[in-house]
Amino acid sequence: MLSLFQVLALLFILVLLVKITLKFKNLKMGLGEYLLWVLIWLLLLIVVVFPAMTFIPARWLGLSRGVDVVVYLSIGFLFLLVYNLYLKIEKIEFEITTLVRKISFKNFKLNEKKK
Amino acid sequence: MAEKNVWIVIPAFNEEATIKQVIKSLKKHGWRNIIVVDDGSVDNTPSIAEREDVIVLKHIINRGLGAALGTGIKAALDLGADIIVTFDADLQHKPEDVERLIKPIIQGRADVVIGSRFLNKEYLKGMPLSKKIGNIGLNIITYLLFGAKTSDSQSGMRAFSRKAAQTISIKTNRMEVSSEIIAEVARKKLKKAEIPIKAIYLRKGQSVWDGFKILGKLILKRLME
Repeated sequence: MLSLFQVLALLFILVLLVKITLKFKNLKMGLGEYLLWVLIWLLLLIVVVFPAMTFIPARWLGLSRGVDVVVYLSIGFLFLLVYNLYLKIEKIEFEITTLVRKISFKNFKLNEKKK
Repeated sequence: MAEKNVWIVIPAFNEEATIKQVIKSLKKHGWRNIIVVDDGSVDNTPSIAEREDVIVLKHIINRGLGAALGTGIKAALDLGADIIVTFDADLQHKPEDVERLIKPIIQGRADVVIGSRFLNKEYLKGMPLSKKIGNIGLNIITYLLFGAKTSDSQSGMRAFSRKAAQTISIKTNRMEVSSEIIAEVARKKLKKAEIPIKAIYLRKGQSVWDGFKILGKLILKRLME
């Protein structure tokens, strides 16, 4: 029997799978990105249904508990995600400044012409 | 003075109380090429500056000190500046210091000159203790993170030769730009000089909290590079 936690986790994963599939179908996501996310969520699905399976990668990595693998991987994944977001925000900030700068130059030239 | 094309860049954010006096006093000392970068002020800063017959560039939204300096320096370069001086809009800098500030560049001894508040002990008397500690702390941080030594990493009064202004790339938008400039000078191996200046604190400038924000941003910048 599945525990309540497993049922909730499965529902959550299924909803996300449907969501990204719809996104992919509406051409809002590339094939590579789509497959990556499907892979990640399917792996999690397996882990949720058969938690004992995580003991295999745990043994490879020299960790005693399967749950540790999941936690470490999740932290690593989150770190990558935050780093990516940081880079994206930096880029957007830079672009906004470039735009604001260009607009200030343009407006100044327009005012000069009016005079 | 006359042979070099010197431009003064004044970044201004809500400085309606002081901007007029700053421009007037600079002009009185013979500095006529002035660019005010209004960084999205919500007060009358831009209209007051425009009445003073200087170039006023207006950011439509606030982008921070780094962005405003970047805009001003780019404009000065476009206008053919040989030397670019950055000058605060809050009356803390003295216009009579500009001539001494640009001297090392004119003499070819430096590419970048920092007006340092820490070189003359007499000048330091007016600085509140929290500012002294904060500034020295940020000097040390700037050195530890970027290997760039300076006696005043947060000074708003600097002079750049045309070459230096073209070489230095300003990427940060906010207050951490001051340390970034110092770091860039070291990284691009530009010749740096420092001259003592006296700063006058009429109003509350940056707070202790601002100092910590700069610290956080600098560490993040170093880590993510």
